Amino acid sequence: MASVTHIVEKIAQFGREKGLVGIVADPAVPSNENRLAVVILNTGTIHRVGHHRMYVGMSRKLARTGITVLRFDFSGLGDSSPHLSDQPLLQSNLTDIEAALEWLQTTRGISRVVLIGLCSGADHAILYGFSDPRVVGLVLIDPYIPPTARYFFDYLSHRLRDVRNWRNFRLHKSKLLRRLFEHISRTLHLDGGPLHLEYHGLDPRASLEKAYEATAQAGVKFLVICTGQHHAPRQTYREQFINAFSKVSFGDSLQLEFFQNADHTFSSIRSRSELDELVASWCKNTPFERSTPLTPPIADVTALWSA
Amino acid sequence: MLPFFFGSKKRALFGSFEPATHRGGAGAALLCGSWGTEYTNAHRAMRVLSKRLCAAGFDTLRFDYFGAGDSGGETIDAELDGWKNDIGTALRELTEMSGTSRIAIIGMRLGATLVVEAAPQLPARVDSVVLWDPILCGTDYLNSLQTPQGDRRETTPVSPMCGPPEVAASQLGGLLVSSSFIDGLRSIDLSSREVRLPSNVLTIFSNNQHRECNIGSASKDSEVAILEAPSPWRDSADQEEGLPVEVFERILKWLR
Repeated sequence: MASVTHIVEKIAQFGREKGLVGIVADPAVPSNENRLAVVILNTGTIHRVGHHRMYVGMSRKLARTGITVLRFDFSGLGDSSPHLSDQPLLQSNLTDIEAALEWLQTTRGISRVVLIGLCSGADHAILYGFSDPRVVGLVLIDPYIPPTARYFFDYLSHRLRDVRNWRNFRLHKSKLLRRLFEHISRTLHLDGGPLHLEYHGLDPRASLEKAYEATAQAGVKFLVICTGQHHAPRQTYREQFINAFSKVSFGDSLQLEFFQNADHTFSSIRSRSELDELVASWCKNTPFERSTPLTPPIADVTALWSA
Repeated sequence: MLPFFFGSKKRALFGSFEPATHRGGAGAALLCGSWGTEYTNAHRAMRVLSKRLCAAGFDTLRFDYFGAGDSGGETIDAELDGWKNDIGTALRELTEMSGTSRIAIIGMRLGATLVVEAAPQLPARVDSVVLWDPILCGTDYLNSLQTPQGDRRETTPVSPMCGPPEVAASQLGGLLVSSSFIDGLRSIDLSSREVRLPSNVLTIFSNNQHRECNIGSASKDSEVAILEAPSPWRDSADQEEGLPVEVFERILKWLR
C-alpha cells in the first residue's frame, strides 16, 4: 500500500433510520488494489473518539497508509440513537457491527475488513468475526483472558510484595483474599466472565474458546495485544492468552504482542504511537485471506454458543 | 440529530445539532464542553443535557474544539485563543441553523472558562450564560492534570497543522500539547478579579467545589447555585452516582 499524505474525514450515518453515527477517514486517493477497511469499536461506554483521543490518531495514521477507517458508536453510546429493539445488548452491538460492514460495502465497495477493539471492543470483535466472511482480521487489545495458574502466582506475588497490602491486612482492610476468591470462582466457572459477555445465561469462557476456534479455522488473522500496567490486571505475562486458550488451534494466524509498560487506556503518547505503528505495519504486511468454509458458516453467537 | 462538520476547510469543527422536539420558541443553546479526559468522560452527560434542552423547546449544538474530539487538527494544534474563536464560529452556526434570536451558552469546566473569556468578542447577542464548575485557577487545574508521566517535555519538536512549523511540546493529561497551550491554561485566573458578562449568568458549583469567584452579569440577573451532584467529567470508574440530574434541572429552570 502506498503512503498517502491527504485524507478526508466525513460523517457516517447508517443502520436503522441512520441512527448509528461515526466518522470515516478515507485516503484522498483510494487505491485500486483489493481494498481493506478497518472498523474501530467502542471501548466500554467511551464514545468513538476513545481514551486520550487514541482512535482519532489511529484512524488518521491508518488512512494515510491507504486504508479506509470507520470508527462509530454502538446504539445507545456517543451520538448514536438508543437501541430500541428487544435484543439483548450484546446481540444489538453485534447487529451494529454488521450494519457498519454493510455500509462500507454499499458506499465504498469494500468487502475485506479488520475489526479493532480494546477491552469490551475486543470481545465484541471476536464474538462477531467468525460469522461474517467480510472479516479477515482482528486486532484484539486487552481482550478478556481467563486467568491461568501462572497468572494467580504472579498476581499473588505482586500483591504480597506491595507493602500497602500488609498494612491493610494489619488493619483488617485487606481485599487480597476476596479478590483471590473472586478469581478462583471465575476459573471454576462459578462466575463466567465480564458482564458485557453475559448472554442468555451461556458461559462466556467456553463460548469464547469456541469463537476463537471457529474464527481461526475460517482463516481470520489475529493481532492480540496485551498491556502490562492494568490497574486491575487481567493478564500478567505475555503467553497468558495462549495458555488460557490452549485448546484453540491458532496455527500461524496469531501474532501476540505484550506492551509491558502500557496501561489499559494507553495514556502515554509513546505507547499509543507504538500501538499505531504496530497496527499499521500488521495491516500492511499480513496476507489476509479468509478460507472457504468446509461446513456451513455459523450464523451468530446464539448458534455458536449453543452448538 | 444532525452530525456535521462546519467552520473552514483548514479549521473543520465537528458539531451535533439537535432541533427542539417541539416548537415552543424557547430559543437555542450552545454547549461548550471540557477538554481531554474530562471531555471524554462527560460526553454522555452533555448529550443527555442536550436532549433535555431539546425536550424543553431548545435547538442545541454541541461541538468539538479544533484539535479535540472529532474536529480537525491534532492535540498539538490546540490553543485557547483559537478555541475562543471556535465558540464564536459555533455560535454563528447555531444562530443560522436555528433562526432564533434567543441564545444561551452552557459551558462545562474549561468550556465555561472559555465562555467567560470569549464573551466580550462573541459575534451574536447571548441572553443567558450557564457556567458549570468553571476552571477558576489555571495553576490548580494544571496540577490536577499531572500524571506520573505528565508534563514531560518531548525531546523532538513536533509539527502542528497550523501555526509555526515547529513548537516545543509537552505531555499533559496523556495528550501532546504545545507549551503555549499550557501557558494559556496557567494564566487562567477568574478568582481574583471581577468579571461582568453582558448576559444573564448562572454559575453552578457542585460537590463542594465552590471557590470564591466574582462572576456576574453587568446589567442583568446573575445567580450562583451550589449543588450536591455527581461530576460527570471524573473518571468513568468513579461515576457510580449516575448523571447529574440536579444540575440539568437547575439549568432548565434557569433558562425557562
